[in-house]
Amino acid sequence: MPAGSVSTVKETAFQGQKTIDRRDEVLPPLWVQSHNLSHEANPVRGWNGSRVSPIDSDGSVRTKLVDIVDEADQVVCVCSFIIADKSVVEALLRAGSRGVRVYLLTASENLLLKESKMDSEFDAERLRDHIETLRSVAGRILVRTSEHFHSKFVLADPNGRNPRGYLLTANLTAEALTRNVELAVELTVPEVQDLFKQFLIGFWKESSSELLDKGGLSKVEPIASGRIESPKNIPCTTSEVHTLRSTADRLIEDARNEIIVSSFGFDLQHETVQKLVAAATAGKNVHVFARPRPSKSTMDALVALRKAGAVVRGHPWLHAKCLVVDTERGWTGLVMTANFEKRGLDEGFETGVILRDKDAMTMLDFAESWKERFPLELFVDRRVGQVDGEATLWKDGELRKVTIGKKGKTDLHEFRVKKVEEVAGFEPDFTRVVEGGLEIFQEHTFVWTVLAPRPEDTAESKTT
Amino acid sequence: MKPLELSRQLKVEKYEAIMEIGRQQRREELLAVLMLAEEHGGRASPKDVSQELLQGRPELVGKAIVDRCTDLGLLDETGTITQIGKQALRTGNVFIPEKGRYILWFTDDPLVAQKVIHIEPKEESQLNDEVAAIKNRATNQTPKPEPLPQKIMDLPGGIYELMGKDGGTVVIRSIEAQGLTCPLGPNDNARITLRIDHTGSRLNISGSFERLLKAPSLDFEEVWVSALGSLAKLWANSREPPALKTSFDELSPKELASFSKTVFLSRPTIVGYGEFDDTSVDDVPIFPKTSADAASWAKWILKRSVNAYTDEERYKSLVDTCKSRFPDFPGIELPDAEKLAAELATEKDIDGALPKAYWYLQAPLDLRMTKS
Repeated sequence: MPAGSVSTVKETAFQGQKTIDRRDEVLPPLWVQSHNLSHEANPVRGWNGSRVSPIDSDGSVRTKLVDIVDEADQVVCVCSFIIADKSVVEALLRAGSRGVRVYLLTASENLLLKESKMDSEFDAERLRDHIETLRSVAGRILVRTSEHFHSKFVLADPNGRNPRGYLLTANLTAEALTRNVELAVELTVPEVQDLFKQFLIGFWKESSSELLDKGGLSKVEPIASGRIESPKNIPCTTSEVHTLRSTADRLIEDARNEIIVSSFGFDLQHETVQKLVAAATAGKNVHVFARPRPSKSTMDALVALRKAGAVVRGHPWLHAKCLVVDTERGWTGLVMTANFEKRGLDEGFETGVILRDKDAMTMLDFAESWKERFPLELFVDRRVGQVDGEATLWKDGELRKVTIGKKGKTDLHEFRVKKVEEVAGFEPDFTRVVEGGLEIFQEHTFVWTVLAPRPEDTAESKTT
Repeated sequence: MKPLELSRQLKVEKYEAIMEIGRQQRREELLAVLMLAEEHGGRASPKDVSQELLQGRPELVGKAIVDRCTDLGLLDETGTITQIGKQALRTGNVFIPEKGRYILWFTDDPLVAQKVIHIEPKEESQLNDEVAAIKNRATNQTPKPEPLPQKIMDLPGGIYELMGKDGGTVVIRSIEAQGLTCPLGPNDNARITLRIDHTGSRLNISGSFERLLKAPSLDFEEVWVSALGSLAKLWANSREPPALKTSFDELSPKELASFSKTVFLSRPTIVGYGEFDDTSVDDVPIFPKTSADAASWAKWILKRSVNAYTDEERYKSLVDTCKSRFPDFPGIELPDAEKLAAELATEKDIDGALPKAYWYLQAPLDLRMTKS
């Protein structure tokens, strides 16, 4: 309520004040910080006895990858959207030096250049590292590229006496292997052998360029006819195989009551995401883990899931893609490289591993840990009065960090009116301040000063 | 194989002599007499000339013309057409005599059938020359005429195509026995070059004299073997195509790939035609000297032929093609793809990069597809 007035020697001024109660005001979808971001990059660690491992800051997964490469004695097959981790690259080069043949599938430079300009899994610096890495390995390992290679795995001696391998949600970069929220699955021998089939498809059928020497990429010439069996145990996406999507769909459909899903990207238009929304709408407990990022398709999907009843939690470095559901046969998980998008489930080059029993339970444990330790949660119906602290609003296609406090005051400074009679009743427009501000208060007090018109303003007013 | 080109300096001798020569000129009236003689069985009488060429003018006029032909050597004393007359008919020119002091260039080179290279009138001496000659006489430096060699004295009667700048054809009628041997100057420099291959030969003189000459009849194979000298024992003439036996180790990649090399010939000789300057012949066919050379060579080619991803079937085809290039060595053994890849793996560059051929062989082995 306006109150009080002060006269000065020179000018007549009116001091205005108004407190707005914003507690019932509905906020746009927002990420609310529920915990502080842990110094430990990955919120889970120390899961022994399972073949599923989280990425941790000690780089234990990276050590495992380096170990299997160091112990390979024939062939190493690697697929990674981007590769720039020094330890892994050095291990690959060491393998090459001792006569082990190393084959690498990776994304094409053109795609990466395009991607790095957008909201992406990596930044321009990683891209430079990646390009430098490829230059350094030219001729020492055989690199093939394609616009759609996005899978991430390392296979050692897939046809040898001791086949070993890992499927990763992480790219082979230092950040992904030590900082991100990622998963790695140690593959069984049949899985290694099956995934090798997908590698063959990638190498012989789906590569577009190759790096054979320092001369740079050259177009891939197709080899004389040959047949490659499709993987049977490993769900994947290739140009001819779409078992990753059918596996994800089946798991969602088979879920009795619990669905836990994690991904870097979601697309609301995709049928698999629609199935998740439908499951949440149907009352199933859907827990979604995501990375808060300014992607309209992802945010639209997360908002829709939240509105349908899913709990959506966020982590700034989440990159793991997985699905865990309770089926009639027990808990079943799927760790995969694909996002819940067309490019990944319907198109591209992606891989997944189905996890059951102890491994699925480990996944469940991870999810429980994530629920407790992910710092952010998405809300779509929060009122100002329900939030206290930092939050990130999703509005007009942008994520905007704001602070929401209980009480606050904003000095709107001076306003000069044109007519004397307007002085007492003047009230500024608060909307602009409320909507554009980085601070939101449940009780927001605004103060301002109204200045009477100057004589010349009045004269002008009279003459006009 | 490129043609064999043998060349050497043309050995020229130079003489100054007083000679009577005939230079070719077109003389229609004389040719008419010769044509008449030919129509009359090779003989023309003053009467024939008067009646048929001079529209019945007195026979004395006809005789004067026949005598002129006799003087020029076109007809003999009996009015019968001579060899010179016959050549005049062929060429349409007759030799018009002149007499004077001439410079004559002569060669004994066995490749050159015509020994007279060139004849030029000796330039009239200038006053300065006369003064110099008097001084020289006083100091006894003036060359004195000497009997010319018999080979020079044998020249009269021959018709010669001159090889100097202006060319022309002359007949030497006579040479006085006394003449001078002249020193050779910078303008007396010429080379003779014989270019010969399976299709034929070509002989030319170049330098101060320029002329394409009729090459002697030579058999290329004989000339080639003769020119090879000590290498001739490595020349497999009975092979098809004939080729030079060569060790693998002494060949460059280009030579290995092309099955040919440039052969250097030191002082090549053609029997009966003498020695020539050092030369080299490009694209001489070669083949392995021994079966070990053949094996190394075949493997080298096999490696080079792996220029795309090579599965089992393609490798077999490459091996077969490779073997077929060594028909002289049917027993060549070539490594299988795995062994060849292992060899290629040792051919890393300084940065440790493997040759492309290694990946082309090894990747299909490691990343084997099912046969369709």
